[in-house]
Amino acid sequence: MKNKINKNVIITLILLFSFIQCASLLDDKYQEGDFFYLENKGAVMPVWVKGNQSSGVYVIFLHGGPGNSSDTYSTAHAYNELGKKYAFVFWDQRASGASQGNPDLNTFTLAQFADDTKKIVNLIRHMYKPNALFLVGKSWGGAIGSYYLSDPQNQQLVNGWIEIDGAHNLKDGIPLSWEWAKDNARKRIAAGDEVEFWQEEIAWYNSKPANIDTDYFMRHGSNLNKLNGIYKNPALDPGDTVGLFAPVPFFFYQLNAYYLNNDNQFDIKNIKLNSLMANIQIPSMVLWGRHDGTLPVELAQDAYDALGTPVADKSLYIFENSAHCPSFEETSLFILKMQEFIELYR
Amino acid sequence: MMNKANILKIITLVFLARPIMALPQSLPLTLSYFGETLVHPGVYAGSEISIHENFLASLSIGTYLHYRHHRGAFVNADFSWRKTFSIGYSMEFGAGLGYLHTWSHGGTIYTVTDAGVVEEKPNYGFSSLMPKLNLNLLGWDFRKSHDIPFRAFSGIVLFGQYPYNQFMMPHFALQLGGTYYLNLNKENDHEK
Repeated sequence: MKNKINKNVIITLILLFSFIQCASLLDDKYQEGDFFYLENKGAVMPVWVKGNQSSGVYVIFLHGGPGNSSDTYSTAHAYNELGKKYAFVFWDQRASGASQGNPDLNTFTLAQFADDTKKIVNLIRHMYKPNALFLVGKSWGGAIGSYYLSDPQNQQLVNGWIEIDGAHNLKDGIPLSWEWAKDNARKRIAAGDEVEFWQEEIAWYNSKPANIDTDYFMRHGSNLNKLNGIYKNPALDPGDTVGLFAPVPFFFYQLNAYYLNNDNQFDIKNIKLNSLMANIQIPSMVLWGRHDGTLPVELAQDAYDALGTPVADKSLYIFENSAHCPSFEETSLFILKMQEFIELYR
Repeated sequence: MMNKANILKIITLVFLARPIMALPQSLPLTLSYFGETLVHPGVYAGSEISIHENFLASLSIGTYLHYRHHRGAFVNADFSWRKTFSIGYSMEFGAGLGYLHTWSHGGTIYTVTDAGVVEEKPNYGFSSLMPKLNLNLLGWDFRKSHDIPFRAFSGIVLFGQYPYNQFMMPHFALQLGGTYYLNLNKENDHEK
């Protein structure tokens, strides 16, 4: 009897710990580079430095959202290729992605996100002493970078600024996005495609003012997806890149984004940084997808015109076959444009 | 005299925190894999006591590691309903509340002052409330089927971490383990 008990217990334990050993592996793609955290005003924000650190060129990536994660981009092909030439710094902003802690609600401001950016820049400069440092702001990251760089003192630490389908002007951008959705919904109706559905959605848009809230993300976001306003070619959508073995729990960044933007507790709908962007004098590049429905292409010229950078040092490029994410939709061209800019100003 | 049986009885008393009317025949000792998000490994240990028919109370302590995100350590009290059929199959539903402490994992934590001074910060971690739901649909009580004092179980745990970024972050975990019923009755041991 005792032998039977011991055998069953031993078998159970062996199975248990074998499973544990197998399960403790970290996905291979996260093994390289340096990983640490920045703590600032209640938020503990993960920072991953990877790529060609011996180049002396560091590119800090400001992700979108608010509330998303750098994870989608840190392992993307475009940034892996660029990482062969430069070092990239991927960090998750407060209350976003894999960030931890319980920061006060009063820290959910653009100014605080910009202060976090300032601390990241200082930290990277302290740790790596880069020869050149660039900022890249994608979508919501475009607002953060624009605000941060509007302070001339901050510009002294950065060689160049790249805004990609950025949120520097949400005050005009959100209503533009609303209209983009309605226009494209009308096209679907004219084509006889899901007529009733799109009629209902147009009625919904007409029933409420453009806003960033739960509805924006859930219903408007869903419509943008269906209308190919995020990816012009949905087949190129990388989907949820975070898997079970990823550091970022795969639903964390979605829930963080939902709660950060819920009930207007992070009031960003009136952000319009154009007047502040006149202070930006450093080399700058604006990249935009022609078919962007999230932040329509009119905002690309708006960003370019707002920048105070001398004309000789600022540029604008429109990706003709992309919506909101040209790094996924026209990867080779995206890599080329990024390299051209960095090489010119490193 | 402080022999093994008496020590175990005292532990049972402390754990139960109630007047002992009749000593239990056995002490359930549970050990289980606790896989946060299924594959981030952990383990918990605990014990349980029958309250009434199919209702139980349990206490457990555990830990898990979500690599390059956080390490968690928790203590939980749960109340469950468990139905064991005559052939041995058992299922269980439970709810509980506990304390979860998490530490950021995988790297050093730095702070930067407004003057730009970089400092390392000790990793004290975060305290959280941990409400919990258990759903174990795959259990087998070998006491019924094979007269072996062992019960195997597997199921899903849903637990919350509050506060987390100003809301409650839900987690789920896989549990896969067993309970060994340590016999406290020395007379029965002699018979075997």
